[in-house]
Amino acid sequence: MSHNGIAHVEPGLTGEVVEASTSEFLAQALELDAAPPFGAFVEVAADDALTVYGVVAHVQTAGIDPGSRAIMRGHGDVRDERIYQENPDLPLVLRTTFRALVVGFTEGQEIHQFLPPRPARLHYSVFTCPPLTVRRFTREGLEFFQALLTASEVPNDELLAANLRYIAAETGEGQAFLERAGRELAQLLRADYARLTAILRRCLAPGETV
Amino acid sequence: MPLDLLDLSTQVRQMGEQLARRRADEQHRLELLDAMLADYRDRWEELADLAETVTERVAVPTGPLDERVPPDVRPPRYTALATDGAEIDPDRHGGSGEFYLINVGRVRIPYGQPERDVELRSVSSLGYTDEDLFIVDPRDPRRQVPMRDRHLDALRTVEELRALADLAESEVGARNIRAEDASSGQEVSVRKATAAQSAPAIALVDGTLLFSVLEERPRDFLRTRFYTDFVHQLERLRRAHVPVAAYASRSRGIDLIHLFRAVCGSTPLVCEVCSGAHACAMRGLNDAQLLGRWLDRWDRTGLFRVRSNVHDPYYGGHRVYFFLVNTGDEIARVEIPEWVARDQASVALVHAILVDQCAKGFGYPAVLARADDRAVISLGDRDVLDTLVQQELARQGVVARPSAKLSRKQVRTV
Repeated sequence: MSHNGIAHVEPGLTGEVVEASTSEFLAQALELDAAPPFGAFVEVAADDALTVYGVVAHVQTAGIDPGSRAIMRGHGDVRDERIYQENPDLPLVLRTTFRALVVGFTEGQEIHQFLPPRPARLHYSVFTCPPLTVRRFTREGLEFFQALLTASEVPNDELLAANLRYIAAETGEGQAFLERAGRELAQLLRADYARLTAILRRCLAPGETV
Repeated sequence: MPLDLLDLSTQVRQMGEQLARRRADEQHRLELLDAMLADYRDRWEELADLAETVTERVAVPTGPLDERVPPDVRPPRYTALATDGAEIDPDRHGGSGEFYLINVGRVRIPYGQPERDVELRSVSSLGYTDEDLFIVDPRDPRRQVPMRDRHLDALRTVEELRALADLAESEVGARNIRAEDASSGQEVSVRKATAAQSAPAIALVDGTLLFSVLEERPRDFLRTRFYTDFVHQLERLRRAHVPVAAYASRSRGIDLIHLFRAVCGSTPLVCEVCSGAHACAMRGLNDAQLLGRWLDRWDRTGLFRVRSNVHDPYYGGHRVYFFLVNTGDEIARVEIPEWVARDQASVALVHAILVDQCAKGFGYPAVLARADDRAVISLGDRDVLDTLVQQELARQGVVARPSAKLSRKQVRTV
């Protein structure tokens, strides 16, 4: 795997914050093409007492220099991985970034599912949340669904469905969690049945129906 | 609006017509010259002898003029080293004090050697001491020349080659370390050592090895200062056994044209080729137009030595040779020092690697493009540097005021 210029040091470490605001943060993945999956939970420290939680809402790979554009490099039988072998400088001029929507934070021992008083700190490390944290955060409540459903410039329904599948798998709670999430969603989307079923259908195992 | 676009558009149209006429005229004159080229094709030794008697800078042929050399097979494993530079001139109007900045992009790309790291960096250095800002004649300290404009260009050229020599020496160092590892008998190291040793390296700079130092008097202290330092870096590269080449995209070199003008004496009225025209048929043409027409894609011409009264006294064993190469869309000129030119294997290696580099870089060597990326100083970077300097001056209690002219430009009054 090609590096984005930083060596791996800690398990779960996945990137570094390069833009931060109250409602979202942008991070550069440690390795090219190795961002956490769409819909995954990530965490970053804002300071010693505050940890901000986010859900990965967008992943992008492009040139590091804002003015540079990737161009087609394949020719003959040089395709896919061979293009990287033929141009070993590419991993140093490309980068993968991911945008995470802030869905909550912990201050001290308390988990909150609303926006934190301070944003994530620029250049701080972003970690993929361990399953235990995902379980603690989602057991606290599912109010953060609202943030995913109303965020702008993201495919909201796809994002929420991806997040539901991620939680079901990571926590090992599977169907039980999906039923609880379905009840929460039914409250939030009681006026929009079509949208509700569209989201739930994206979370079903093959052969199941809503 | 600062440009009178209405008036300009008329001028642009007139210029377009003129350029089209000139292009047709050049084509016609090139056809006239074909006869002369055919005449001298195999009499290149005669031309070479003549070249030695000319005072102007000329190309000295080392073989038949129509020599065409196809490239060797592109090496699958090699290391490409390149540097490129950019500078910020001392700003007379800025008021932040006199300083200049040279930024050198240094790049090492090991191809086909996944066990080795790619290096892309830039090294910036500020010149601000009296020794930096003035070049002093060692024989007459009263003669001081400010380091700016063309002189700063020359200094940047030297710094580019110094960085390239640093890269080449570290390349040799890396090989030696691997070789030592290999002798310790560890299997992995043995494999790495063989890898590094079997992968050749070449070093590239953009432009020319024959950079100019403007001055009125020949053999003056300015030339001595820049050329001596430059040649020292070439010598470091030679000792590191890394062939070096300067690559000029769409070459407009006219060393061969100068040679032919010396042949005919540039007197069109009595010239058979020009047949009594008022101006020489070679006027405005360049070497690439003369020789490049015969080259197929990736082929190169034979080698020509540049005989230069300005450079040769300083360059010694690093006198410059060049060949032209067809990269598909254009004719590029590749300059190499004598020690590379005299080694056929090195010339073939430089040619084959440049072909691979141009293929990877869509017509321009990929490694040089990366070095250029790292060298460029953006407007944003300039602003950051200005702010840094002004903050530091303020901290030291020095007032940094722009000149009246610059203040007037920054704040437009009506």
